[in-house]
Amino acid sequence: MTPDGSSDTVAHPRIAPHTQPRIVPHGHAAQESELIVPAPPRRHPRRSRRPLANEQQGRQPSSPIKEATWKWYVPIYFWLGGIASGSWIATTAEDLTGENDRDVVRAGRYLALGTVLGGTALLVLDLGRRDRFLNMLRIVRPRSAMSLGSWGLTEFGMITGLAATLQLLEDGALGAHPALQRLSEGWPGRVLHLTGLPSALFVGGYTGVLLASTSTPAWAARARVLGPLFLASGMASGLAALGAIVDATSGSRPDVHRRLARAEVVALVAELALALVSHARIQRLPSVEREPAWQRALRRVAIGAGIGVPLVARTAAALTRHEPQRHRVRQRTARRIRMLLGTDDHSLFDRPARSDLAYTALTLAGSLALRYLVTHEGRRSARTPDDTWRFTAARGRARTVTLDRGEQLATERRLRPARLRGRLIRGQVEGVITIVQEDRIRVVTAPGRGYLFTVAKRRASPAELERWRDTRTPIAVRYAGVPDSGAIAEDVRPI
Amino acid sequence: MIAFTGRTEDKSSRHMEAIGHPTQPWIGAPQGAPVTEDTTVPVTQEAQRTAGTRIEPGRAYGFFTDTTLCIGCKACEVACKQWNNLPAEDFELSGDSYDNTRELSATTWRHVEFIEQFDAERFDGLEPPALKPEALRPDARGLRANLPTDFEPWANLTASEQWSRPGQRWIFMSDVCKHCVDAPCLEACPTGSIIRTEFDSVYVQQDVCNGCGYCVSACPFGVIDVASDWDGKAHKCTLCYDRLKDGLEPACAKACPTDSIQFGPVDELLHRAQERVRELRERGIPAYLYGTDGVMENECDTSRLEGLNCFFLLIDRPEVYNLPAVPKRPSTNTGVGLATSALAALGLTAAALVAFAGGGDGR
Repeated sequence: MTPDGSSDTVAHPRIAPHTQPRIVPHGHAAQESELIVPAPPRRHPRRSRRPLANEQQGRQPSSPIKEATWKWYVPIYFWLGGIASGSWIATTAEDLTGENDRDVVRAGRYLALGTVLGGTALLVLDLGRRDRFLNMLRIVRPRSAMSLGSWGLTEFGMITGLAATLQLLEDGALGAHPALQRLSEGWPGRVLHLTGLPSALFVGGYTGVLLASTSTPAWAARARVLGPLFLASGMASGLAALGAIVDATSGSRPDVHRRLARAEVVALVAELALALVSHARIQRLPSVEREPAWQRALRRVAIGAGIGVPLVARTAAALTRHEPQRHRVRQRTARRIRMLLGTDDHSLFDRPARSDLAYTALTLAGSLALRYLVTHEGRRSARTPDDTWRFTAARGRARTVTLDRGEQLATERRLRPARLRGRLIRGQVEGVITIVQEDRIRVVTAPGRGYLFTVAKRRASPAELERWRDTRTPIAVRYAGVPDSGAIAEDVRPI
Repeated sequence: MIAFTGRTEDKSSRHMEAIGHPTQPWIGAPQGAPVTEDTTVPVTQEAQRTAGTRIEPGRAYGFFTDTTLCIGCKACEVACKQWNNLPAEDFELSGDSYDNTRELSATTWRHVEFIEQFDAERFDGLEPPALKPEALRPDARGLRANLPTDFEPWANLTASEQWSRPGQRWIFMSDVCKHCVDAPCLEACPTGSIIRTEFDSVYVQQDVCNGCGYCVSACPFGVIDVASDWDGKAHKCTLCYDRLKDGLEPACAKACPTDSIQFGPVDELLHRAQERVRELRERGIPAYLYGTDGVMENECDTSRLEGLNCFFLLIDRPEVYNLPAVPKRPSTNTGVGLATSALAALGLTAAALVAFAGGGDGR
């Protein structure tokens, strides 16, 4: 488009330029066509879909469900919420059963507050109407994971705020008072940690439940796994981040590291197992079967490098009883460098092993990648109609009431033909018996459709059934279940 | 007939109140004949003329969409856009279908689905089998006696037989919010913006919605959407809530020239729909209802949503109409997910407590 409004494509004079018709190319013929008008940016860029390999031709099926409207803020929030949850769990454990090391508690409290605040900000940014974020607290709706999550996050946010305030007092924001320190270190701090623990665990896990409580097949199909998976992953990343912060602020602390490493091993094992189960639950979905190579690669890298590698490293760290060899080598190198520099400043090299930071980074990146992956799997799944068809298919039941000619249901007088409660169909057919074999009969209706039934006990004797068969007596059968595959004739009587 | 309600005309007292004068509650009837409000002879509503039904709060209303009557004229789409002042979509051609609207959205609350069944596999087993040249060669009597006998040529079928056999055809369905009896969007809404109205429809209160988008993911039919480039709020069919309150049937139903969209109380519609199904089946058309709780056909089961107030008469598998056979209720996953998460939380917390208890050996 040139500044004077003329266009290099043929524009309709009466139609505003941005509403010019354009043809979205689909299929081979369209791709070779010269009629393609350069397309302006799509209305919903996130919904523009590339055709899957097997649907290049013909009409693009539009998806029966809508993709989540969430932007990139949301997976990042899931990740930050997980870190907050994990750091709170670690802080509470350090306070209750650990050494109540103030460096760990300080880092845990500040980390939890920072990540909760950051996550909440991202959630507000994601709203269509950010000015109305407080409407989330208008009602409590136990059936809505989003509503529960808003309240859980609010509660956790307030508790982490209190904890951070307590920490500020302990650190001497109002001057150093031993009383304030006792308040923060002693039972009030401990009570606060314990009070916050349920909401921390909730914030870590509910994000998975939030995804699962949707109509998106790739999420809803693993409703039991996503919550625990996000919780375990959040705990692992929270512990890793906490360790890194303690290192950065208080120098290398092998004792703290060993405690954190032991807990992280548990979290990583759980995360690994749940990630594998989670994938197994959806690998039969068409959108996953046809997933692009990068998605498969990302999954492997996230599980292998983001969970597997840190797991091995942390296991080694948790089992090692003395300083690792590389540390001694590093110390020797440090001594030489100190000698070269002519300084005696030991703190200069009193830093954690770099490999430790690398494992932390891997854990955090793996946790983020996992959340991105799960979110993206849901996006693809919502765009893939076959996913919904498989997910919402009448499971375990053949399509018995089909639309062929034999199903001219009027002649069968099936006014309320198949009643379905849970998984049980009930119905009635009228016809004649053509085959009797012990308690099993075949009934053929007037249009010629046959049904196989097992006759319920004491409803009709084999002799009666055979007599009706021989005399071709019209009978009515009331049945439960799927005809032809195990339907029970609850009532058989001549009309 | 004038009913004595026991209350006298109090407009004047209200007026007095409005202009700031203290009012005197009248005790008993004043002198002369009591002026009563006539409550027994209601004003005729427009819906009584156009839809044959009176719209009263407290009754469930919905649509019965008969796809066999739809001619794809899109009058409902236009009427909906006009009445609800909805902005136009981008002018965009789908390029592979005559259906250029493609899907319901925040700004399209009625969508006439074009189901274009013209693909070759639909003839699988229905068209004459491929004839070998010798089959067409006349025999000695000049008759094509070699023709296979195990098929009926398409042309020999009656119209109803052709209907009952899915051949090439063009089906239309005017899609709309189903106003589920247990609506997943309503259950998901964390702000309480989505409510159930006195007409049993599901309505998004625009002054409350904050556009979190959870309803979009919850809807099993892909109906509701957030207008991210418009006002950032969730929108969907309101069942013309404003019109119902004034005794008018929804705009789409009123505009429908073939009565494919019928508006009315759900129980009456259901009765009408069953009559229609019976009638069609007598003509050999495999019609069935989708979205009625308790009347399950073609393996469709909407009982998890307790049925749909806006239901459909279909003649092909539900998936053909982009409708799930067994729509799930997403909120059932919440309890399950929270339960397993709680178990995991217990385990992980216990593990963390134990892991920290071992001290730091080697401090």
